[in-house]
Amino acid sequence: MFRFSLVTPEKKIVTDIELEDLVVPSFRGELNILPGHSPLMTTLSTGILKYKAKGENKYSEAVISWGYCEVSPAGVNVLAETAESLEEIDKERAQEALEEAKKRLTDPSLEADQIHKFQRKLDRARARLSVIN
Amino acid sequence: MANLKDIRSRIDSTTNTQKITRAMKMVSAAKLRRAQQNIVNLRPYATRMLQVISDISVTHRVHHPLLSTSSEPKKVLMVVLTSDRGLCGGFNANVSKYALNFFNENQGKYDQLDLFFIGTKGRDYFKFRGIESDDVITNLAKEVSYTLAAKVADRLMHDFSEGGYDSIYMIYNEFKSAIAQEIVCETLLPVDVSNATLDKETEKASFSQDMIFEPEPEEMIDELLKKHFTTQVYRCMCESVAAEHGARMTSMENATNNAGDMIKKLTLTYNKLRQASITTELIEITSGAEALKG
Repeated sequence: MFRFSLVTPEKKIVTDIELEDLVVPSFRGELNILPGHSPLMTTLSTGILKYKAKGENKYSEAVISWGYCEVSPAGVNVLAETAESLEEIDKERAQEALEEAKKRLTDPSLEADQIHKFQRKLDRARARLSVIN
Repeated sequence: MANLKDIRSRIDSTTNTQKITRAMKMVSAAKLRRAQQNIVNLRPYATRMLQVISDISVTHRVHHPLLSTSSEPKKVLMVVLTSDRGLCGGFNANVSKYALNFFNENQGKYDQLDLFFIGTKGRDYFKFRGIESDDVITNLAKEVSYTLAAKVADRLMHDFSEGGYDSIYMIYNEFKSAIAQEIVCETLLPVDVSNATLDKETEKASFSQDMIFEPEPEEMIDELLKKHFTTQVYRCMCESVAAEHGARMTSMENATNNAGDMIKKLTLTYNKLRQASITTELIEITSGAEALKG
């Protein structure tokens, strides 16, 4: 059991709840955090964050974009730039964003930072859609 | 002397104006509440972020160009944050005046002092006085959001690195209460961790030395500092928007009251005139009747 909070600049998603299990999209891939994890600090990329609260059988999911995760004996803190829970995701918009990003990425005249930007958009749209489906 | 019809129409138009100012006040009050909420929501994120940055920089002795150095800045970018719309009392004028004073006083102190405006009002103020800015962002969306702040921050960051500045100052209205704003000049870059550092060295317990870092602290702090900057920009914008709505609310409240006073005065004159004209008419009738009798 460990304490967990997820905050974004615009709102607090969850604060100080007891968790049994947490999966975060670390920049190197999925990272599972269980009680007793050693202190860790990592950056997170766009992806799905899953957590199972104490006494619950199901995982709750949220889509986050850039953030970082801090594991300390006191608990786990996740600061994400954006976070959306399952209910907040608009399927149509995500689909549109995905198409748009795909189309843009095929453009050969794109500059490096633009590619990066659309790549992130693509990732985010994909993550959103995979949560819904 | 104005005739009855003129006064009647003035009363009508003042009443209409009063309706508008009252509505604007209500709108600002509602927006103010939301803006205040934004500030409150941001606080946990912002404080945590700064703490982590200072923790890392202290425990790992990380040096980064964006972290504060002891030397005085030479090239400074001054960001003046105003609103795009008026009718909010002294809100924009105060900031602009402060910025102008700051600009005049400190121009000699630095090798270079450039201006960056967010919001049309500040830019216009300086343009009128013949001072051109380096870069401007205007016509921001009505609602401040983190995504918007991120765009602004990107632009600032871009200017910062392109222009070879070593400091960014932000001048804006800080929200104190619905009726009070305070103008502050804050150093956004380099990030100052000295205050937080002092606290941390005494109570290191929350942050252990053997923490695993992925990626390395040096890389991480780079990302964190950039995000911290964005957060700071977002915070300033939130503060400024809240202050703007507060200022607009107060000035619209005053305008509504003034319109009320004016209507009262006009109604009084109107009634006096009306009575005077009735009296004159009566006199005319009676004197006419008297004349016929005779």
